Amino acid sequence: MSSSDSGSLVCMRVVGLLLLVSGIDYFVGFLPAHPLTSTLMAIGAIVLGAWGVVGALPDKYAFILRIVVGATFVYAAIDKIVHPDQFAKIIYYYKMMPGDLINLLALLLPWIELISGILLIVGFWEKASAVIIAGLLVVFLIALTNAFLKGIDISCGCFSTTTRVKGEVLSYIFRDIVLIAIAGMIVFARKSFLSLERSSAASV
Amino acid sequence: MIKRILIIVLLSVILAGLNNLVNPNKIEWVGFWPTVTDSDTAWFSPSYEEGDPPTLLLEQAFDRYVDGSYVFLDAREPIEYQEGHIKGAYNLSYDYFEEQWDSIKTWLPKDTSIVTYCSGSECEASLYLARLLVEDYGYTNVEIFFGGWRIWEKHKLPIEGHYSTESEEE
Repeated sequence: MSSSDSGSLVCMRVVGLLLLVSGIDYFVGFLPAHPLTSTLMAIGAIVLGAWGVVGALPDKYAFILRIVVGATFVYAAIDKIVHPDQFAKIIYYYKMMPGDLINLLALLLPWIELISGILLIVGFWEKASAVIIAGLLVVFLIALTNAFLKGIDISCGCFSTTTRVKGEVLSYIFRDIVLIAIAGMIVFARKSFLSLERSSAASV
Repeated sequence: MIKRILIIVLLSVILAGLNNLVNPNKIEWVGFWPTVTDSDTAWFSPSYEEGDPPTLLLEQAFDRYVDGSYVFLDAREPIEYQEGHIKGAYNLSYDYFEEQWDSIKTWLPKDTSIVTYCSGSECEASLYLARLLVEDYGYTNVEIFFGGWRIWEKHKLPIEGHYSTESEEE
């Protein structure tokens, strides 16, 4: 089992714990922001989470996580690719990027997300893709945290500073951390989960 | 691994480049995003009272300009407006309010997000216009940019009108 690799196992336990926490939160409601929005998601999170925490998530389910991350990135990329003008505004509102780089990033970033996401779904070059995605997620995490601390409302592209909005940012941060941990599982796995490159010679 | 990452990035550059040729929403590779700060002036009209519509610093005003859903109303006289104004702003002069209001009210719903401005902090037309819209006409979302035309122009932010030199950047 690929999950016997220690780095991957740590990530799997983190994923499991976060999923478990968010799943229980759906029913009990103790987190400041609720990352899950449906009962089905919550039940799935609890089941997968419990499995992950004990470090025994079989590959065939871990592969679901890989597809979830890939699909999230593909889904997120498409709207940005269609509307780079709107995405550039959103980057601007984070107030973290030098002005000259904003449009470049708005044009390039969604394509990197799309390609990495597709590769992750089909399981080809998935470790390289997972490294890219993990890197992007870390950058997003920094940006989100910065927005949270400054009280910038990034959910609607406007600028109010209410606590309700801060709650939403918190759930984005939570989701970001879950995705980083899943990407970490893929990066550190000795073999890849049900991927096209199953032979160990293929992974560098 | 690094080679594969580079290939993915390179592929993204190519696809992004091709897409930006045909995308109807295409943008410049280097955009116009000036760094706007409010360090130089504290703009405030002495007539401003508690309960008046909220005021905006330059950075906030520019954020609203970028957003695109805000209507900027230039409260100066028509001649000043024609010489140059914030790009996309409409003239609703406080002094000529009656003449201009009839044409503007037809497309300006009560819940429109409005930013009023005039020449600068020493002029009060933006304040009076904002008060008028809120108190007499029931507008609920009006803000005042006291920095006004002078500070906007000084920071070389997008303008239009006779003064503006040819086509301004977006």
